[in-house]
Amino acid sequence: MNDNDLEIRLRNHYRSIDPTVAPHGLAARIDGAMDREASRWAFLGRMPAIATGLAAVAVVALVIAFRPGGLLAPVGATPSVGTPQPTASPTPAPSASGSLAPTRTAAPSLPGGSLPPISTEPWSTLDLVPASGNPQPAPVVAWSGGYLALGSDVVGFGPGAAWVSVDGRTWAQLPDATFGTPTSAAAAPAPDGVVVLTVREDGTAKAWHSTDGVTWTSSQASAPRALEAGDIAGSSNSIVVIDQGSPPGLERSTDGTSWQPVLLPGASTAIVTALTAFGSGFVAVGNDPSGQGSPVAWWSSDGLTWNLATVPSHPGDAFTEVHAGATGLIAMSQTNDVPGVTTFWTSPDGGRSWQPSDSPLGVWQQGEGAGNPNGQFTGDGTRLLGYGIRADGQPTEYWTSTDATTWSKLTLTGDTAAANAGSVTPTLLRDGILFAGGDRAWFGGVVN
Amino acid sequence: MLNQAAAAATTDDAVRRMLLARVDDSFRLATFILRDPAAAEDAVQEAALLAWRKRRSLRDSQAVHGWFTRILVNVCRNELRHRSRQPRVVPLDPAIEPGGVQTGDRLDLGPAIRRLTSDEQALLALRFGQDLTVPEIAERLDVPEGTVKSRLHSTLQHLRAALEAERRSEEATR
Repeated sequence: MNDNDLEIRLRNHYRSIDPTVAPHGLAARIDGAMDREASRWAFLGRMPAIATGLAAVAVVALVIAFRPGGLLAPVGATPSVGTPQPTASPTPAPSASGSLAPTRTAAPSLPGGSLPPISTEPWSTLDLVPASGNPQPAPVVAWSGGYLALGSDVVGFGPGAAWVSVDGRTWAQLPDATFGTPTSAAAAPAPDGVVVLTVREDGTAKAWHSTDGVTWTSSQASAPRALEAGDIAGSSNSIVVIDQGSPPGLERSTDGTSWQPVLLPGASTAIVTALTAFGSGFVAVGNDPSGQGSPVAWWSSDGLTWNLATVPSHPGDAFTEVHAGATGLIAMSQTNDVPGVTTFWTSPDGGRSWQPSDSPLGVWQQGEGAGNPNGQFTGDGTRLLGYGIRADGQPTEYWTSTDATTWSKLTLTGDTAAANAGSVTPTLLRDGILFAGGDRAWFGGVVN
Repeated sequence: MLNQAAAAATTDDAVRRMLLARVDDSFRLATFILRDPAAAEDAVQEAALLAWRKRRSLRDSQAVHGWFTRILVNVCRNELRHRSRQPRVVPLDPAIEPGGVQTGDRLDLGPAIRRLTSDEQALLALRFGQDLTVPEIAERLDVPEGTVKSRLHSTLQHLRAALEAERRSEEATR
């Protein structure tokens, strides 16, 4: 088939699915959503004035009530009129180091000081401090020298910019094209630093290595043709990536440059959909699409030799995500029969066996609004973060766990706008959460 | 201060008018990329709200169309990535795509297109669904024309390989 034939087939294909017009009412719904959004922000923008106004009304009412002969005037009290105290601003001032504004410098230096130790204290309160800028840093990779965020830019194709940080609070943007002009990229902690794997449109791959996040060296890599940012995991001795080939499988490296496919036990038709590091090993999940389809999981202590996990029969299900805490893992599966219905799974033994679990938090995904409990989760190998809404219009709840079984609800203080925005992605850092999305970012750090 | 307020109002007005005037066009593009009308409707709404929230970051109100196209394409790409992790739904009638779009395409390119990356699927939708020229795609996506050309070339190569893989897969199941 020549180019012309293929292009004709493509045009015919798209012509056959051309809806021509949008569904009735879509424009009106968008118009209404914009109005509601405008009203919301107008209200928030007036909050200081409203708070001041309400305080003034309260002071005047109290003065009137307590004046001689007033309703609340104490018997025999000496009348006095107090001076109204200024009301506190509802928005805390950004911290001096709280700016996430991208700074494009030819040779950036890492802001902040030394990397804080991993927090061992339980999180119960996070004080959210707003920061300006448009970092969109997701996902964030932590390594011994700090954090690296590969941006998911809202413009253009391929991966966007990259930022580095020592402490997760202040970030510096790496110069444009630090990693060339790849079509896909993924980053992971490496045994001796951090590795960014990039794949160009011609299929050639490079591994970029750094110990400080600022100076990078590259080498040709035998990596998969296409990568997704979340499909990579690193431990103290190796890096594993999901090869998005057909069918998807795993490849392993010790240096990010030389990669070798790994043999996964079990059905040859099984595919891998998600991967995480756990301790010094790895856990992968996926499904076997043969027959009715079934969820499948594997575990490995070194990324090279893999073992089939024990997963109870759940016909029609496929694992879609897996996240690790310090001592337990949580995974999600979805079924062909009822699309959108999530089954939660936990593993207490490092991914060797899995059991279906009730929805751990009983919350919905943000924006879902109704139906099956379907919370969202993320993890960094130390903590798990679960989040979702209890009901329409309710604030987002955030819970943490280290074992995927016992969960503690976080109390958020400060400017909680980010935590309640559906478009914001929370990322776990060692001592807090980075909320990013839209055009702002918030850092929530442990304050107790 | 007044000038800033007037500029903001101008931007708001331009963004609102563009979003509402291009609902049909946006829905077509989202349908071409996602090949699922319900998902396309969700994507257009999500992209419109995202654009509305980010409207003050738009430096040139004349460039609003391309700016929104990039946002919409990105929302669709994220949906494709999310979808690629879900169990694959095998349609009973191969002429019907998951989500209910009747392709009527006897040669059915849908399964092969689904094998491509989300970027490649979006590029095909812009070029052959929206029927945009290479310079028009370059302008909308704010990338060099050469980049669009080379990516189109490699995407068509990958599509050929995907068609061959689909053919082999069909033969194996017979």
